[in-house]
Amino acid sequence: MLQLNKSLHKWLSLLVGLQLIIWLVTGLYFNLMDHKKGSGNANFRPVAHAASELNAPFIPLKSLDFAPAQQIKLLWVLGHPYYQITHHLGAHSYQAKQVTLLDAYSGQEAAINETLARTIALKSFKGAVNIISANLLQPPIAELPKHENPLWQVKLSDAENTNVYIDSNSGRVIAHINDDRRLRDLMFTLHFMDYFGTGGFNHWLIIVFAIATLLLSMTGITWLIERFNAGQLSFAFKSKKQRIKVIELAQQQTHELELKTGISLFDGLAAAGIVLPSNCGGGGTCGLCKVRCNENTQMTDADKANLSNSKLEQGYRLACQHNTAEVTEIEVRSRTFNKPKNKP
Amino acid sequence: MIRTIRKYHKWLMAFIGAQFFIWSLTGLYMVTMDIHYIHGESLQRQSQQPIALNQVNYSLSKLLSEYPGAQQITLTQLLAKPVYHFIDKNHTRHLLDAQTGQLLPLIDKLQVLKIAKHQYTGDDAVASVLLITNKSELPSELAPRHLPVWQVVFDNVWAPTFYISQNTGTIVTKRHFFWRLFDWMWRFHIMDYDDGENVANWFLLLIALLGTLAAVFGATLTYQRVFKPNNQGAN
Repeated sequence: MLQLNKSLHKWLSLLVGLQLIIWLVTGLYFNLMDHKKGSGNANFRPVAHAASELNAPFIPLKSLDFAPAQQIKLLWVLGHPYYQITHHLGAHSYQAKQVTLLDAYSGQEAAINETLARTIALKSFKGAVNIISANLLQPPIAELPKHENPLWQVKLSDAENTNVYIDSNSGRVIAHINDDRRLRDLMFTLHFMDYFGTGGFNHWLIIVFAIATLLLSMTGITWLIERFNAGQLSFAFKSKKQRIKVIELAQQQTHELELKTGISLFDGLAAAGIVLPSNCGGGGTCGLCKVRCNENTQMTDADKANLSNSKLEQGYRLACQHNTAEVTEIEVRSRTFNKPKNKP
Repeated sequence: MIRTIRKYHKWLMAFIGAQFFIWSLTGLYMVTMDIHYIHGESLQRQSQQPIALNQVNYSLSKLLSEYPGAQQITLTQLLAKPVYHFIDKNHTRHLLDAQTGQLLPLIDKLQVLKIAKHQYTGDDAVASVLLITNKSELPSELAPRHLPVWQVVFDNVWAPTFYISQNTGTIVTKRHFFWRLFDWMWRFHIMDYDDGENVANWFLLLIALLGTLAAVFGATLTYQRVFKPNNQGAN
């Protein structure tokens, strides 16, 4: 069971590891970022639209002919009044809307045209700037993937490469997208794994990864509990020592060592200069760090999974899965054998 | 080297592993629950009654001459009658009968019950109605700019709630169990446990920094085990 847990932990980490690091690094970015800059509004200023005086009386709504409306607003655009007639709207302003604009003086059908869009874009920008281009974009819009309505995109010549997006239904500035904002949006794309441009975080890719990550953390916690039960997450600062007789087979030498308790035999021997072969570094998964102890030494799951029955019967155990305190005499075949420290 | 990394991975995770569990659990909730559902969009009928334009006898020109400087003028249908709402030059919100131009009184309890019942997509009865006028009685889930407001709670285990402006009769926001739970998930995700508004808190910074370190150590272990299984010098 515990071996399966470790194996799952490894393969899950292979699947989500890179994304997990992306989540952490982008999370750190959101923690440290300058939110004002990141919003793209560093050069934004509100555009005054309302006029103080009426040039003429408005044409009465009753006299106009249009499809049934749920909401009618008096909309001022650069001092000129319009009836903004909304036939259908969603719960959020970015959702698809059906809107008719009528000139409130003449009753003629109107639109936020290029001239208006260009003027609004310049007025919404602090400082002198030129326009590179203005285009009416249909959704989906690359830089604002959530938006479901046509937007004017006015490209400005400033150093931050600002694109001003203007709602074609109202003339309102939706966003200034500049390089700072693009960086933030990239971070959101990475954090939400929105690699297919849905504009949100409710998609199958991130759901699969979130489930895998939850399993990764659960197998990790299970592993930690197992380590704690095995006495290798000991918070006690006891300075107890265990005296162990180590017979080194490769060198035909015998040493009497005093090792700290509360750590694994593998770590204890390494600290004393006896480095056992290992690939996993003490995870109990590679089965390389075997040492021969008294046959009565308790067998752990990792021992059983990595060592043959005959080896187990002869007293072989994995050094990383046993505490220094469990043994008094062992035989080892080490990779390197430095002059042992910790001699009594 | 690997031995040391494995030790650090273990000890770092012993201290902050619980937060990785919280991050993945809260993250999983937030990505699996449809954000439109969370925002209670399914609680409210999307299509409203169309405006009865033939009854709009009071014109916008008239409105502007009587209330000069009126802003955000909106014509909608409220309880089978066309109404205007707007903000006057003193920033006070008004509701007008679009037939007569008469100022309408604030929405009363009977009216709010009708509005709530009419807009609610479920068929639950109303469990409670409460008028909130004072900042001191403001529930944390509601922004003060919405005051004064009626809170209408429906009789359902998930406690669907409408907040309806006393000035305009429009639903300013909604809540239900899953949105409230989402807010708590968010707070635990960004480790800001009071109002969940501050992503830039030092606690998150500290844990995320240690977490990144622990994750990079973990990635090294996986790399070693998967791509270098024959290397025996893991020290």
